[in-house]
This record gives sequence, structure tokens and C-alpha cells, in this order.
Amino acid sequence: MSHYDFIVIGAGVIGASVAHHLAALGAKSVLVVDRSTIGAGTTSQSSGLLRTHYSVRQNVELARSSWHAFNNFADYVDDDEASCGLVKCGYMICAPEGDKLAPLQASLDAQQGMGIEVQLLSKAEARERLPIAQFDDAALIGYEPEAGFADAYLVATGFARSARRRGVKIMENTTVTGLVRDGRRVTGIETSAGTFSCGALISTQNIWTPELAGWIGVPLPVKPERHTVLALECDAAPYTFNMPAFKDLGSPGMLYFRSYGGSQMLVSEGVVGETLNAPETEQGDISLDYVGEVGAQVAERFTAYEMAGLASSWTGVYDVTPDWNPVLGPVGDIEGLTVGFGFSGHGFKLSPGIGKILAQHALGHASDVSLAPYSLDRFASGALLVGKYGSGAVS
Amino acid sequence: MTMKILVPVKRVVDANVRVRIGSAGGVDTAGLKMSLNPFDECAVEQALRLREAGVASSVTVLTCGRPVCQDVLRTALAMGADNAVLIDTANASPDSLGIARLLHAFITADTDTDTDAYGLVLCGKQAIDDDIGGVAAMLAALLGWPQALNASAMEAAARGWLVTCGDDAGTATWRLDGPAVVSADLRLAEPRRVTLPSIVKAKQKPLRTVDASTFNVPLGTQIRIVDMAEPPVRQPGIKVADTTALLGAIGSGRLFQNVGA
Repeated sequence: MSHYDFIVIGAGVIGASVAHHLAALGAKSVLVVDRSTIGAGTTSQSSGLLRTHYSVRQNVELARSSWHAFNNFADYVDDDEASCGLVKCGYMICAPEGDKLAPLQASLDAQQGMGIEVQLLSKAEARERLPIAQFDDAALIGYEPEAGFADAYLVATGFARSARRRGVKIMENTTVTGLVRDGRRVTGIETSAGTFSCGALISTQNIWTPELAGWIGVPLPVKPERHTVLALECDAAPYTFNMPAFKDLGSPGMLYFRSYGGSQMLVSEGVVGETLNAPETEQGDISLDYVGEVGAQVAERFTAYEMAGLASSWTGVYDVTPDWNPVLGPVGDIEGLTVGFGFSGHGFKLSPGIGKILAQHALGHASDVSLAPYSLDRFASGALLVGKYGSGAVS
Repeated sequence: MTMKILVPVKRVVDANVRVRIGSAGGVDTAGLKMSLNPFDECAVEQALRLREAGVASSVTVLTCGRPVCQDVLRTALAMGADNAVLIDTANASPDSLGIARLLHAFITADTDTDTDAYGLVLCGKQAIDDDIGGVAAMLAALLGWPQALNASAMEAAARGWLVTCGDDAGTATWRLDGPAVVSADLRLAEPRRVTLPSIVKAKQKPLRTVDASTFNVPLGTQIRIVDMAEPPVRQPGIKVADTTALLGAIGSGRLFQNVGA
């Protein structure tokens, strides 16, 4: 039976980031196993938005350190050829008069208080940056220049390549079937490719985390939730790469937008999606009625899109917790186990920072950002990390 | 010459979905993305272009299936088809011949003397789910109409159609006189995008449901599925140390034993 000091389950963007950081922080013997291939699960379905705008303070800290990694990705993984596909177009967020206004003001203030550059734009300034939109109803418009979007699959494979270069072994198409235990201690994993023992296990199983819950006999609150993404095309108003990603808190679906391929608009709802009965990343059905409903919301803000065509559409799955924030750290009194799950639609943005603090925790180092607020116990104690905008992936 | 065009279409699991075999033995499509069969999409597009060119007065899309199949009719209506028909087959699963007979019965019965007659049946060359591709030829035989399959180009001619069809041996252009059945390959016409206004407009267009039993056509299937299985898992490749070992491996034939798996 082979032994590794550290075993990571899952080679999505979080697991690959953990593996990179373990190796970069000095771990000598690391194994990553994935049921499929690197980044092929929910990672490949990410819309890739990058921002530091969060209403939960710890998320802002993680997002800030992660942005640094994305913005200097080749240096960060020490590989001249590495790219995360960053489009640094900035991020604009607006709210009309109403219940979203105060939370937006508070979040922008908090970001500024943490030294993050945030500009407040007039309607005219907003229109200058995003001329295809109208801002007649906007009561507050914030803009972060250090934001944009990147490619989650490139990041996962970039981290994986870096990890391999540093000696990490990654086994794809290998399914974990159970854990090896010694009392309260996790000492290894059973897989379709044999049994491996480990000093410490890190689970980054995303929507497949309920399997871990079964192995350890501890309920872990996470559900798979399917979300739909549309790519719209409007020749009269192309959404170009120099136009910022945009969050519309005034729309019923709290829509987010970004350029797709330099001319199309990627748009998706930022509210609760469709809960699935079982973990599943296969493409879900998208009705024409749904396209029509979202399209009508889009046209309220981007009037030329009233005539837009549907270029493509797809679905992606979030691993959602009750408060739409992740669980990071140990589980109860189980030794040798670190978990990271429940990213609730914002895992990619935080993946470098989260990979680092999970690696630090597994190594027994002090973590850059405290794991305490993200502990599993919060669901029992009631100290939830609910974002000020309510349920949804802004947090 | 003016006439109506009938475009029979099929609702299939989306091309980007990896299908799996469900517990009941068939392909499990519950909750998965369903689409208008891509070949049929090309047929709809070509029909719309013929109507826009003034060759046809209207385009009717039709599908045989359960009421849930109305969604692909709505997609075709949003693309621009004028009206749609669902032949509700309830729980029956007719085979290609059953579908061809239903279409034949529909075309024969749907001869309203106030409107133009169907002068063209234009459909996809096959559905991407079962890949049989039998309906167009069977329907042409039942109607006694000329047929051109796997069309990559077509235009109206003086007394009918000029249709270019291609296969591995080359291309041939056929002249079909009178009403005809043509099946489309992906080159025939690149489908247009559904636009937001057209989605709204499509809701107002007529979509009528006809009970399949009114046609007195046998809806059973003569095809029995003996077994259905996932493709075998592809085995990992081998690494060879040098050219000699590579030649040896090629000679043994082992290199290609998994091709196509």
C-alpha cells in the first residue's frame, strides 16, 4: 500500500489549488485523486467572474489575496507559460432605491475600509464604461478596477501542472470508495485503483461531498444546485472585453453579466437555482420560456438586447450551503481530515486563497485568513455567514 | 408555384449531453437538456428561406410524440415557422415506419382546399438519438413522391426542385418533379438564432394537437431492443521505450485494438 503525507480528493480548481499550495509550502509527498479529469466537473462550468465585492468580510480578504494570484498568475505558479485567461475589465455593481441600496453602500464602504480601490460612479460615468446599458434607476453605482473574469479550467490545469512539477502525483479517473480509519483518525482512502494511506486527508469534493458525509457518518450541509447561463448576441450593442463585468442588483434575478468572446453577452441569474436530487454536472433542460423571462430582464437594462439572439446556453452546478458560504477546516473531532466544500457559486474567485489556507491548515501552519468563521460548527451555533444580499452567490 | 412546406422534426437529447442508461434499460433523459434535432434545425432553416424567397406560402412544423415535445415545436416557431402540429402518440413509441405512416396520413388528410397543398416535405437526414434515418425514404414511398436524401443544397426549379446530395463517392444533383421529400444534412442551411422577440411572438402562433389514434395507423414498433450498453471503457495507452519497441507494438496490432471504443 502506497503512503502519502497528504491526499487530496478532487482535482477541480479548489483541489488543484490545494495541491499546488501544499507543494509550494514544502509538502514532499502529495497525492490527488479525481473521479474524472482535472477541472472537468463543476470547475469547467464556471462563469469565471473575479471581484472582491462581498458583503462578508472574510470573503473580501480571501478574494483580495486570490485576485493578486490571478493578476500575477505566471509568477504565482512560477511558470512563464501559465495563464489564467484573465480579462481585466473591472466590475461594476449597481442598485436602485430599495432594499439592496444600504447593503451595497455598506459593502462598498467595507471594501474601501480594507484599502481596496472602489470608485463611486455617476450615471454618466457608468454609461461611459458600459455604453450598452442604461442607468436611469440607479441610486448607487460602484466600480472596482481590479476585477474582471478568467478561465476556471485554465486555472485548475495551471495549478495542477505546477503541483506536478513540484512532485505531486495526480491520478485521474480514480474514484474514492471509502476511507480507512483508525478510531477517530483518518489514515487513508480506498479507491478504484487500490488503497492509499496518508498522514492527512483534504476533501475538496464539491457537490460530491455527501459521499464523504456517508463515510464519516457526519451530516454535511451541502446541496447541488443547477444554474443556467445564456450567451446573447446583439449586433447593435456588442459587449466587448473593455466593458466591465456587471452586477444588476435592481433586476429580479440579480443578474450578472460579462463579455463572452469579445462580442456576446454572458448573463445568468444570481439567485437560488434548481436543487438537484443527486450530484450531477450533466447539462440540464433550458426552456424557451426561461430564456424569454431572463431576456426581458436583460432588455430592461440593456435596451438594444430587446432584439438579441440566443447564441448558446448551458447549465452549471453550485455546491450550496444553507448560508451560501463555504465550510473550511476540520470536521468535529475527526483527526487527519480537512474539508473545503459548499462554495455556493463563488469558489473560483476564492480558489487561490482557499487552496492556500486549506494547505496551511493541513500542514499545521497558521493560516493567512482565519478558518474559524467558516467552521462547520456555525450551523449548530447559529453564527452563520449570511451575506447582506440574502441567498445567492454575491455573499 | 406556391405551396406549403411541412417540416417533420424530432425532440432529442442535446448533443452536448453524455447519455446514460437508466435503471429501466433505456436511455435516461430525465432532467437533461433536450433540443430540436440538429439536422431538423437545418431543414427548418431551409424551409424558412424558401418561404422568404417566395417559393412557399407557409412553413408547418410537426412532431410525433408526447405533449412535452411541444417545446421543440416552439423553438421552430421562434425560428420563424408559421404554425405547428403535435401528433400526440401518448405512451406509444412508433418506429420509423409508424412515424412515416402517421406523416403520410396527416398529409393526405390535411388537404384544406382553401389553402395551398404541401409541395415539399423537408426534414433532417436522421435524428441524433437513434441515427436510423429511415423516415424520409419511407414517407416518400408511401406518398409516391420523388425523394432526395442527405441534401447539401437545394433550389426551386420550374416544375419542382434541384437538390444536391453528397456522399463519400461525390455529389449528385437531382431534379425532382412535383411535390417531393428532401432530407437535410448539416450543410443545407446554417440555422438562424432564436431572438428574444421571436420567442414572445412564437407563443401567439397556432400550435394544434392531433390525437394519433384518429389516423388509424398502427403505433407499435417492429423493432425489439435486445440489449443496450455503455461503450466499453477505453483502456489506457502504452508507453514504449524506443523505436524498436514502437515498431514491435505496431506489428502486434495492439496499438489499435481500442480504436473506436
